[in-house]
Amino acid sequence: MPAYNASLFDPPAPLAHVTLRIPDNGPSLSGVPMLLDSGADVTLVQRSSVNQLGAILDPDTTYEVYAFDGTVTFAQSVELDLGFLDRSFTGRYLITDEDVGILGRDILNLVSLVLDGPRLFWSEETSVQA
Amino acid sequence: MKVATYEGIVENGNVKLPDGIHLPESIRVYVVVPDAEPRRIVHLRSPRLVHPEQAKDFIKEVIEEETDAGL
Repeated sequence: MPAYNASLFDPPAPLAHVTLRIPDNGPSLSGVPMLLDSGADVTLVQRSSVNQLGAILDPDTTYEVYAFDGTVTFAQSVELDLGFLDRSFTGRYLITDEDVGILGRDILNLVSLVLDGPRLFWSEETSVQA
Repeated sequence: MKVATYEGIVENGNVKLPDGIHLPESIRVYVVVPDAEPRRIVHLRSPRLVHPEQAKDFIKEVIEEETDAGL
């Protein structure tokens, strides 16, 4: 089971490692660290990873986002495939200059996860009742 | 300034001094940590869209990926 990360986050936080890919069988980059953040409206991927892939940012559109403290910033976006839990999530992603990306609710609301905080593990819930 | 040095250890976030060492209440102390590297803590802030109607731009196409079941 994937573990929480206690070296980058205090208190420890659930971290996933995803694969980023340029759509239509382009180059891919695996092992990209992303924080599971249900407080985030959308997912943000690291600029360094996007640059490494050679993905082209959307030159025409920026998005206004604000943090919990009300700070407003503008974020660029890019079209990518994101591989997570044996699924490919294709669409638009915002860009962050942080070293760790953010998996927001645009993806988290499509999967069922169990956060086992006391044991510092998270996993996919495989026995969800309808 | 006169200086007295004691070696202690951190337990549950508090500095524990050796038995028999008692410091006056409210005395100012300085803590020197040898060979310590500051922990690099990431501070990500849960971002929200200023214009929530833009959330539709981030709807994802989801495809189940094939796994190598035989491996």
